[in-house]
Amino acid sequence: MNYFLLFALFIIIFLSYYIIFSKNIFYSIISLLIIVMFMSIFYLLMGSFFLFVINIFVYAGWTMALLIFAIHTDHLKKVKDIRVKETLFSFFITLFVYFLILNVLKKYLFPKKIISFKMEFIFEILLKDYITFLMLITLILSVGIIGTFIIIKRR
Amino acid sequence: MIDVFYFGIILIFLNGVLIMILRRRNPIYFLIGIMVSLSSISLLFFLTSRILGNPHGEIYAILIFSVAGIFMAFTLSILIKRS
Repeated sequence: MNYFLLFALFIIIFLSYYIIFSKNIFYSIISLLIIVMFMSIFYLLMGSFFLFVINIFVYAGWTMALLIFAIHTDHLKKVKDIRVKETLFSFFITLFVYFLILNVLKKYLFPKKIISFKMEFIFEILLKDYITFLMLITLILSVGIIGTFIIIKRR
Repeated sequence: MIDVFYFGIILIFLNGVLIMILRRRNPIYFLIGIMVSLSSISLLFFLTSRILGNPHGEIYAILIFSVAGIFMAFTLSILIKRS
């Protein structure tokens, strides 16, 4: 199991270097999505299904938003030799295989003597010890949502 | 074995910073760099909390997720306005 996580780490490092040196923004965003999905494997194999789901929701969602923004700002039209259909087809096949592998892998945890916490325990600490941080982040979140709407509406 | 993971995650964070510095002309790459670095930091917190048996690192990982979501929303809205 450690070797699979090492392989995932190697893939993430390789793809992050690929983002630096690639000229095509479409492939960069797709490689970012693969980075996020390989990072979520770490959360799953270390016994936190909640953070696995949150990671997929937040980062993969924002990656898709970035892709739509890249299409919106016509960055993709500058690249002539892009094969969007083939890339998307291969990406969805990879996604399918990824979830098939995950169903097998989630039985084996890393490290073997894992210290896992129940989410009720974590939320209890969050509400007791970190209530000021939580309120601050909630405030920033609400300000961010309102500011986002105002900025887009003024456009 | 654990040290390799620590080293790899720090390398990913540095790669995120490098993306922000080297591709700074394109704002999408700037966002990509921030996303990579923030996700690597949250992974580092999570890994440390699991190894040490301390749940506080996991809480910080959750807080970083929410901060990343807010930041990306706000920055993307500014980018949409400028485009």
